[in-house]
Order: sequence, then C-alpha cells, then structure tokens
Amino acid sequence: MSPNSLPVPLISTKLHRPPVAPDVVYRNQLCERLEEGRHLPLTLVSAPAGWGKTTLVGQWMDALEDPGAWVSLDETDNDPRVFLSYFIAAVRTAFPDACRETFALLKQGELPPLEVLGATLINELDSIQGHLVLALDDYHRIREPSIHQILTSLLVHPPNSLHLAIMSRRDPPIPVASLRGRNMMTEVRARDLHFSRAESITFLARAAGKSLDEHAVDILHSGTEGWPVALRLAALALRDREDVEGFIRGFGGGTAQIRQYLVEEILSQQPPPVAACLCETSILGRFCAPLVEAVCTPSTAGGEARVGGVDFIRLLRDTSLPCVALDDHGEWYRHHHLFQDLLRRRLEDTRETAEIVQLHRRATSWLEENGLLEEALEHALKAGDGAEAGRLVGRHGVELKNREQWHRLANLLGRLPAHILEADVQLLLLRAWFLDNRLRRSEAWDLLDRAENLLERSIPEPKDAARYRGEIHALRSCQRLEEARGAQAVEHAESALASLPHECSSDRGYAVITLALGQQVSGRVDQGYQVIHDGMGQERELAGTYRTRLLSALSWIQWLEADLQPVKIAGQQYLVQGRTMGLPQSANAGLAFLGAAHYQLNELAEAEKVLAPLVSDPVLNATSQVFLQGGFALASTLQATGRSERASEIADRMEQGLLRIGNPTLLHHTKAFRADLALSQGRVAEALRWAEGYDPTPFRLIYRFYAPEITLGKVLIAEGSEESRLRAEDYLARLEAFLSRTHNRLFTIPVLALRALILSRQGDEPGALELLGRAVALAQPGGAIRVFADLDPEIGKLLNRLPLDEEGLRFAGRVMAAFRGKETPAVAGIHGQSEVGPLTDREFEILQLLARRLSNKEIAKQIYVTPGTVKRHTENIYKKLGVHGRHDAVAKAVGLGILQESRLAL
Amino acid sequence: MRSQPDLPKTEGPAIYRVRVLGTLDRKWARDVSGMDIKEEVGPKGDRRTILVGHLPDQAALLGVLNALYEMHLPVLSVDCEECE
Repeated sequence: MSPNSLPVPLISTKLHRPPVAPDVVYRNQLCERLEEGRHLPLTLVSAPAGWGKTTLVGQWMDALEDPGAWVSLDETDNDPRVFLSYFIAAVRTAFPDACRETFALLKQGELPPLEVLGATLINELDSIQGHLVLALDDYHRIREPSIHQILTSLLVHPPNSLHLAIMSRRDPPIPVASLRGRNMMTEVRARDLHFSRAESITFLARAAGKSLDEHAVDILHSGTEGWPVALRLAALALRDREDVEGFIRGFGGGTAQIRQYLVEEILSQQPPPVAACLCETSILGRFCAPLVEAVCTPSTAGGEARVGGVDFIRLLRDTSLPCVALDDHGEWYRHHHLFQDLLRRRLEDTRETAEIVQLHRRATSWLEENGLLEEALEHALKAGDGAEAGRLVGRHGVELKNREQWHRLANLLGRLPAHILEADVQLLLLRAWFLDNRLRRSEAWDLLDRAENLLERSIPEPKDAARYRGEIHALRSCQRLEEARGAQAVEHAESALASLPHECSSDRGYAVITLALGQQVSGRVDQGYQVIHDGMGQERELAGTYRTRLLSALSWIQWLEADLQPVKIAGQQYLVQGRTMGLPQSANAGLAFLGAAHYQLNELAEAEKVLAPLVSDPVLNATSQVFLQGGFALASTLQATGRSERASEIADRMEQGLLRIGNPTLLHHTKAFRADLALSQGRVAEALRWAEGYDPTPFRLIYRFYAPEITLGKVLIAEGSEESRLRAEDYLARLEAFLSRTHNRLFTIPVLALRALILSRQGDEPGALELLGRAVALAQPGGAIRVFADLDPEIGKLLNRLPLDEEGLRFAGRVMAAFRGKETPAVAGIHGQSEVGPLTDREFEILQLLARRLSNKEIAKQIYVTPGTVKRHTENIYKKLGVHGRHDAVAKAVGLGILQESRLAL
Repeated sequence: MRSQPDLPKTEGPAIYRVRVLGTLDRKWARDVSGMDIKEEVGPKGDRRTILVGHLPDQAALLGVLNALYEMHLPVLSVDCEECE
C-alpha cells in the first residue's frame, strides 16, 4: 500500500503481537476462562503495570483457532483518525478487504460525525464472515472521549465477528459495570493475576536457572506479593548471583524499595556500557540497533568503548532482560513498560538534565533522518526544545503539502506549543495553507497578515526569505482574486512564481491557478491558457500536486468561460492524475468538476453516476472545495430529475455537517442553496425569508458551481410584487455589470435571462428577446444548458420565440427539452409537447419526410395528397415550432427530441 | 512471616465513596462505574454528587476517578469503607 493511500502513516510494529517469553508460566486456569468467554463481546484485563496482562492475552491468542490481531496503543493514538486507522489495519491483518468504507472515510479532510463513523464501522465489521479476536494493549493511554464513544458503541451493538480484548492499567471509561451486570464480559483483575506460590516456584526455577530452597522462594514470593514482573526481575538478579542468601537478605521493605533494588541489582551485573545503554534507551518508545547506537553515549566515564547496537539487542534477548520484540524479523524492540519506568527513574536520578536532553536530541536526529517524523517530534518536545520541534515541522512542510497530507500537517502543527507557532513565519504560513485548504479563508488571511508582519521584523536566511515571500504572494493572490481584483491577483501570483523554488510544487501550482484565473477575470483568458500550457511544458515540475493543480486551473477557467466539454476532459484528467499519484484530494476535485460539467450540459444520468460517490449514503464528504462543488451539483441533479426530497436531504446533511465543523463561508453558501431548492420546490415564502437576510454586496468573485447571487435575483422576481420587480431590475443590472467587469461568461447567462424575463412580463418582447439572444450567444458555443433550465419555465417559452439560425435552434430545442425535465441526449420522439402544441400524426409524418430533404412535391407523392395539402401542413408545422423554414423546423425538432438525429438522411 | 499474603488493599474488593462537585448522568454512573449516585447541596448552595458502590479493586477505582477527571468534575473526597 503506498503511503499516500493511508490516512496516516502506520508504524507496523504497533500491530505486532509481542511474543511470549519462553520461560513464562502458562496460566492455565486464566486461559480457560478467557476461552470460555470468547464469544462475548469483551475481555477486560485491568491491573497495574507488571502483572502480566500482555503475557496472558498473548498466551491465550497463541493457542486460538480464530485469527488474532493486535494494537499496542500509545499517546499518539489519541486522535480518532489515528486510532481507527490502526484498528482497521489490525482487522485487515486477518481480513484484508474489511472495512473499506470506514477506511475511505478516514481519508477525507474532515471526519464525518462520530455516530456515522461508528455505525459504518459496526456495519462493516458485522459483514465479515469469520471471527476475530482484536487485542488493544495499554488502553489507559487513551484519553480522547470520541474514541471511548466509538468503543462504547461497538460494545453496545457488538458485531458478531469481533471479540475485543482490552488491557489497561485501570478500568476504561466504557460501560464496564453494565457489561459486568449482564454477564457480557470476561474480567481479569490483579488478584487473578497473582502468581500462586506454586507458580512462583515453577517460574523462579525456570527463570533463575537454579533451584531455590523453600525458604528463599517464600521470601521472594511474599516480598514481591506474587507480582510477576518483580519475580522476573528477581529471577534475573539471581541468575548470575552466587550468593543467594545475601540477595534474599536485601529483600526487606515494601514493594517500592524492592523495585529499585531489583533494578540496581540487574544493572550492577551488566558491564557498565550496557548498564548505561539500558538507562539511556529508556527514553525511547521503541528501538532498533541503529537507533540505539545513535542515542547511547559514545563512551562511559571509565573510557570503555560503547556497546554496538546489534550487540546490545542480542544481549537483551540472551539475558532475557524484559524486552519485547515488535516484529518478526528482529528489527524493533521495546522495553517492558515497568522496566522502562524503573530505568527512566534511574536515569533521572543519576544524570544531569542536560545529558538527558542530549539523548532526546540524538533520538530526534536519527528518527527524522529515517523519516519517522511523528516520533522525532515526540522527542523534540520531550527535550523541552520547542523551537527545534517547530523547525522540524517546518523542514517537512513542503513535502507534506506536496503530498496533500493536510491532516498529518495539521496534527504535527497541533502538537507544537502555541508560542512556538506564533513566533515562526514558516509555521504560521503552514497553518495558513492548511486553513486555506479547508476554505477557512478569513482565518487564513489573518495568519497571513501576522506572518507578513513577522517577516518584516525578523531576518531569516536569504533563500528562506525568498520562499516565504513567495508563499505570502501566492496566498495574497487568492485573497485578491476573491475580492475580484484580477490585476492585483495576477501581480501577486507572478511575484510568487518568481520567488518560489521549484520543489514547492504545491505552492507553485496554487500560484498558477490564481494567475490563470486572475488573467481570465481581467479579460485576458488567452494569457491564462498560456500560463497553464507553459506550466505543462515544464518537464521537471510535472511531479505530484503541481501537475494536478495545472489541471485544476484549466478546469476553473473553462468553467467560467462556459466551455463545458473541455471541463469534462480536464476534469477527467485531473481525476486520473490524482488517482495515479495517490492524491485523493485532487482525485475528488477532478470528479467534482466532471460531475459539474455533466450537470451543466444537462447530462443528468452521467452527472449522478459521477457525483454519487462524493456524497455517498449514509456518509457525507465534507472536504471544503469538493463538497461545495460536488454536493450542490448532486443535489441539483436530483432536483432536476424530480427527486426533490432526496435533494433536500443532501442539502440538509451538508448543512448539519458544516454546523459541526463551524465554517461560516460554507454554511452561508449552503443556506443560500437551500433557499434556491425551496424556490424550485415551490416554497417561495421560505426563499423570501432567506433573501431578506442576504446581502451579496460588495460582490466577491463568483466562480464556484453555485452562486447565491443568482438565487437572489430569482427570488426577487418570484415574489411578484411591483416593488420586488424594481429591486430585481436594479440588482440584476448591477450584478451584470460586475460579472461583465470580471469577464464571467457562465454566470452572465442566467442574469441576462432573468432580466429578459422581467422585460417580457412587462410586455417588452423585443427587449426581452434581445437580452435572451445575448444569453444564448454566450451559452451556445459551450453547450451550457442548465443555466437556463434552472430558471423560471417562462424563459423556456420565451426561448421558443427567439429567432435563431439552425445551430441556434438545435441548441434552443435542447434547452426547452431540459425545461420539461428531459435529459440530453434527446429521448426518443414523442410528438406531443405542451409549449409547441402537439403535432398531428400527419404533421409528424411530413416532418419526418422534411428531415429526409424531400421537396413538397415528393412528399405529396409519398403520402398520396396534393402538394397544396403538404404546403398547408408544413405551414402549421412551422407555426407550432416557431420557425420559418424546413431546415429550421428539422433542427428545432431534433433539439426538442421530436425527431431523432439518426433518422436524418445523409 | 506470612505464608499467604493477605490481598493488599489495592487488589481487594471494597465499598468506595467518591464525592465530586457538580452533577453527572445517572446512566453513566450505572453503566460505567456500577455505582449509585445521590445528589446533595453543599454549604454554599453548590450541587454535589456522591458516588457509592462496590468496586472489585483499585484499578476500577482509578478508572472511575479518571473518568470523573476527564469530565472536569473536581473530586472532593474519596473514602474506602472496610479499608481501615
């Protein structure tokens, strides 16, 4: 699986079940109990550190017939996306195809509501054929309430296929008492895990490698109180000790003393470099030979050479010091947690803080070099080195952006202390880019201002300064574009491209988009195309997100130019490139463009097919841009094909999802869209209420799939009063001026049509037709149909009376068919149409013959009537179709769907 | 010398009483902790909740205390009956 196909990078060692040490005591009775409870939803093993929880479950799972999966949890799993990624990855070690939908959800920019996530997961687990035992170790590390919630729902509605085994140092905040009361769980507690005296004897004999007399065993057993890890440490300490008596004598005091005593014993038996290394590696969550070498101090005070990484690990295994293998090939290990705690305490007692910080730094270095960013960050933070942590994230920002790993970036930024982020230009910019990607633009511009101010005041390296300025220009360019300031957008974008180094693919691609759009908005669309073509010609930049952004730029421009077939092509390429390069956000954006183009061309079945996965049942994809495009396009498609309820449902869910995320821009857009739907569904009053609260001025750039500004015009006209009409006239005139200034072809079309409608209602037919004619002229070349069909049907009637050439008539026919809910391509000829007045059978027959280019005389001969009769019929036909000649009649009839193209003679 | 150690108090069942400032959901108390809850009013008129119940050991007690902490309910006291 390529890294980009995973929601978060997975550390495979966390999925590895720690192997059971060969000398452990087999806990028969306990394993039997676990086995008895295997078909209950839960096994809970709750006891403090060192009781052998992991060992017990490991033993049990070793003997199982059913497949077992394992996740070793730690602090970083306190993010639902991360937690569920590991959960599903674990399930997939046994059932590789399971939980596809949940997995897909985890890759979205914004996660859907918890209930949805939980429900999807449960359903998919339920549909697994087979049984799985999934162990979650160290669950006490999980604090995040949403994760507790998911687990709770899993236990309340347990899937048949899954048995959960949770190991924790204290009872987890899930309905334990309720499950206990209903006998739905197996519980193993500390008192169950005590070694009995017999078990202690067996264990000590095995692990200490010598047999001990009763007296010694009793002291050890009662001194450790049957605590397994303490017994293990005692056995270790005893192994190389001749003087058993002496050792036993030291066993006084309470358990706390015993632990420290044991650790010191063990350490004193190791050669000093090894002892040092043991303490030093206690800071690591997991280690491998090279990491050990990187971290451990080169030589001890006594001048002895340090121990090599490989040797250290071999030693650990050979002396069976409590360490845990994390994979099958002997690469990664970790200390037993309790042992690790004790070692760490010893480290803190015997070393200076500065030395310990050094250890963390060395760990950070090695981990970063080896691409383990999240772990490297952990250590930088533990070293108390906030600034270095910030620089670490900064160093990888470009790479993360280029791979579209936005939530990973957000995660890393989120772990930094706030004051570090605030004081670093690069980090502020990274966060601004993230916010921009989520369409939280006002927040992004805020950060942009702060970053710019900070840049003025600080003195970074020259090449860094150039890059930061470039990034600032790129984001500014977008800001100006939204303000409809094309020229300024162009300037900023050009400055950005001049300053940004080539490896900043994401940022450069972004600047190309704003540059191209800026040119289009300024009326220089050819230059916009040129920029894109130049970009495509540059071989070395064609990696990753730069290339997909070029396709995005192309799609945007062509959309605004109402040139829809090319949008389909660009959108399709965008989608394919996105998939090939493992860039899900790009792939979805391409899909959205494709769907939007299909919709606008009135290819509704295609639109629905393409868009459905973006907004699929029962889940909502709430990734900003894609969401706006795709969600609205799908809802519009449903509305246009007569499924109003489903359309409203989608709009509802979009609104709910957005309320949760709290993005005002998107929410605002969605409320407007709902008003538009209300209008289409005949609920004028509802639409009016929205209109009262809506003020579109000052106009911002209109470029998305849906424009609330148009809805306002529609609503004002629909209101019907004289006052509204006047307001509408004024408003639409201003809107048209704005659209004209920004060279926005696509959205000018409906505005002209609406203005024509107003004139028509006032009796000014010529005026109306003139405006409508202009609208058609803009729409026809690109084939934009729904810009008309989403308006009042009266416009369709008006269209019928518009004088046009043959091409124009064909186009008009398609638009009129769309008004009647017909999809393009044309449906088979039914020759009764309401606006046109039904053609009689005879008329239809003659029309077909006209289509075959027969003259009146030839037709007359064909159907056994006089030419005069034919002439009379054709005149009726022309009147009904609103045309003046046979070519036009045929063209229009084809457009309307009365005639099929294929019936035309060659 | 003890031949069989008595269970240390951390590992034996006992009745615990936990007092917190604020109120919490009855269902939660039942399902998660298995404890009963009673509400009372403190000296300054503030609402308090007392959780009382039989817990299997102190791992369970810590689970309850941790959950209360995560719900931002300040713990006023924890008493163990039978622990003396």
